[in-house]
Amino acid sequence: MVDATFGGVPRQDGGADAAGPLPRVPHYHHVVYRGGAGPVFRIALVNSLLSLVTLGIYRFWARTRLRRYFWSHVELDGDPIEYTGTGKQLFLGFLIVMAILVPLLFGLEYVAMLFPEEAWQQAIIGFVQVFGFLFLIQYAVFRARRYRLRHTLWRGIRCNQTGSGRRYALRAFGYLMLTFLTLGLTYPLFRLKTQSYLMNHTRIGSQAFAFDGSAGALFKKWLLVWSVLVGGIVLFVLARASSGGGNGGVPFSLHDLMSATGSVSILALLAVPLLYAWYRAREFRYFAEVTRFGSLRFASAIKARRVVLLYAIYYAVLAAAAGILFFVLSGFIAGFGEGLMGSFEGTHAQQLQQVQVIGIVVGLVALLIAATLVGTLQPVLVTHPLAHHVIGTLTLKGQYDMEELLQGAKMADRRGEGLVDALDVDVAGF
Amino acid sequence: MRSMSMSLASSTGGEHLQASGRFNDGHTAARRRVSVAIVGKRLEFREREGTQHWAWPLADLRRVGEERRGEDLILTYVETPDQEDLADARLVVQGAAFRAALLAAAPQLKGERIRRRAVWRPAALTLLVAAGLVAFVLYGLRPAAQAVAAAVPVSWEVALGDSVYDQVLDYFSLFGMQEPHACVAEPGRRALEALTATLAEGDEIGYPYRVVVLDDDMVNAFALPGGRIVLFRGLIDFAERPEEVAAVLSHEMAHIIAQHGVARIMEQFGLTILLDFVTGGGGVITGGAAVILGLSYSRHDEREADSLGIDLLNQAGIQSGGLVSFFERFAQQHGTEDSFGEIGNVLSTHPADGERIAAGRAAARDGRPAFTEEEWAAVQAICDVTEPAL
Repeated sequence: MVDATFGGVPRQDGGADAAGPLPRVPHYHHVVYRGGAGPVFRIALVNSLLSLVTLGIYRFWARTRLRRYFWSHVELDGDPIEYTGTGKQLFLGFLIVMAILVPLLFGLEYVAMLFPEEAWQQAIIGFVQVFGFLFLIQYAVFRARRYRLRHTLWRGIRCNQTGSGRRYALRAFGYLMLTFLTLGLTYPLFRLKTQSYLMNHTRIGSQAFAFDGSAGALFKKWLLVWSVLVGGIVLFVLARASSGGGNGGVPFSLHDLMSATGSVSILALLAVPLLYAWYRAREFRYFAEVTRFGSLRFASAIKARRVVLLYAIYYAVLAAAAGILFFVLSGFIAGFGEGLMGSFEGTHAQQLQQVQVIGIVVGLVALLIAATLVGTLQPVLVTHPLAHHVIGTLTLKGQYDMEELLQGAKMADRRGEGLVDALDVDVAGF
Repeated sequence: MRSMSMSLASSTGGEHLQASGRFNDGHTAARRRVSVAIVGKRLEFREREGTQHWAWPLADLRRVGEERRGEDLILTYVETPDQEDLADARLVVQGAAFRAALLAAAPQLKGERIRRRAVWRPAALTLLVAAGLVAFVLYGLRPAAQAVAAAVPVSWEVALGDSVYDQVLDYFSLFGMQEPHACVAEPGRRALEALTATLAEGDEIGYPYRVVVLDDDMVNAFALPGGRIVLFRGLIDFAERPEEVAAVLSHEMAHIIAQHGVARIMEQFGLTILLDFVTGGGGVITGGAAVILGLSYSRHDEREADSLGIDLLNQAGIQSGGLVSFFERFAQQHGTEDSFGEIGNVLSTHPADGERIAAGRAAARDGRPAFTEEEWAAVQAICDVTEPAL
């Protein structure tokens, strides 16, 4: 229905229906995204509502449905890619991971309870928790990507993520630690090294991708984001110090923002997410350049400005929605609370309880509305236009004989992405 | 846009609707152009420029990419249903007329059927699970927690209560109150211990009761798992008769015997795990639900402790009308006062509504006094000697 909106991207039908025999090697390869905002919105809305009424249990099927939509509207040389994962697999994978993780976490809590006095033991337990968690996240990212690749097909040829999750996690964790030690300066190195491992172990059937980049080209771009972030933090601290600092133990107050330094610091910190989107767009362009698939090379004409605008719109819409929600609910609470106080007969304790319960219920409702809103808006305002832009500006250079592309080994991966779900990691927005 | 090639073929004997398509055999990414026809209960297709041909039973056909627009049908077939996600041969058939014919012959390929399977069935199932979960939280969690609490060894309860006791005292000294002092005047202590021992005869489990009076104005008392009971001086000052102190003491003992504290902990624990499982760790949602649930159970617990406490007094032959007079007077004097913000105010956990007073009045029996006159005087003077409670 929204075909016409795909300006700039010529519709390609792959020539399959041409009268003559199929050319053995097409003259060029092309990748297109044909999704429409309307269908994405409809799917996202139904998904959000179903997730809402099922206390979120439906989310695994919701995610599957969106993926099926997005995947099946990406066409490579005229044939769509395919997502074969299922909600059931994601759900079971999540249950399995929770069954392992929950006792582990409570075990740690219990151990911490055994030594309430010993500060150094508490420190060790805290250390294990934080770093164990960071390590697990890396492992989870790998496993989630592997699940998605193993459930991605093109012309019946399965993709795969080879390599070892443990090795990847160790490597990613190491570079993450380095990033911490350098106060974030070496973040591009972390990005490059992880991407390198993932891409060099990514396959379509028998053919592996090759990724050969260096972080040097990215540092200058990252430095911009980094200096705004660090500058914002420093200014914020300065503003707080000059406004008297204390605020009676309140960590943050509007008063801090009144000064010029304060407002500049807030502006800088608000700009960081958008600058980060800009960095990731530039990074994508570079990553595409240094990626090869057999004799194929890639080039991306992704526009960082476009990506930033996209996120800016999304954040603005969310902020507006949050503002409206806040005013409506605070009005509701004020009105309802007053009416309650006036009419309710009984002791203060009962009133207090009622007010507490109403406050919590209203808070929960607000949260659920917010979650539903984000669940509906994100695919429409971010994922879909991003896919449209990123894939629309991606070109494949060179030729590749698709008859040489053979099926890979059969690799079932039915545990889904449990770890990612359990740790609540957002992998690439899907 | 797409040219549709359709003809009436006679090669297979009958007249069959034919369509053109492309086929990937699942071994290479090469596309083969094929002619496709429905023949009986099978979908047959053969290479246009070659000799190979295939036949897939209509019943085993599956459709992929069903969310796509357009007339194409992308098909695969599965030999065994559980291998569905591993089937990788793909046949794309083109043309609206053929598509309609195929959907009629193999109805499992229809979009609405697929959506029913992939969307509405899981939606209904997860809705059922969610409803079951809510029902369990509302009606099953408490009994389950109570059952688990009953299985907990007394020594564990004692250890738990002791650790919470230390934390509570820390909390008091942290939040504005002066450092907590315990009242330790010997005669008063002995009198309280004697009453506790008498009441404890009605406790079959035999918790090691340790009653502490804290030197504070609060009209309050609380019990911790395993036998720790804390009374505040304000409560003893407020009491007009020994029976009122006895009523509060027996009420707190009843909380311990009925394992309300342990059950509450188990319940919050279970609820946290359960909700984290379904919501994927929505900390705020879980916390909010836990508070609501806790509030709704606290009333039940108070009523149970009222009736059990009065039973303890009746069994010991002690006059058990103290609870009623205590509550009535408390409601009169404090009911209209602003009780917000006062930590652990007796009313915030002990809502004294008319129903409780009526129930207490119905259960009350006459008996001997809780303390002799000397004992009562000693209890009232218990804070003449104090020492740091920590």
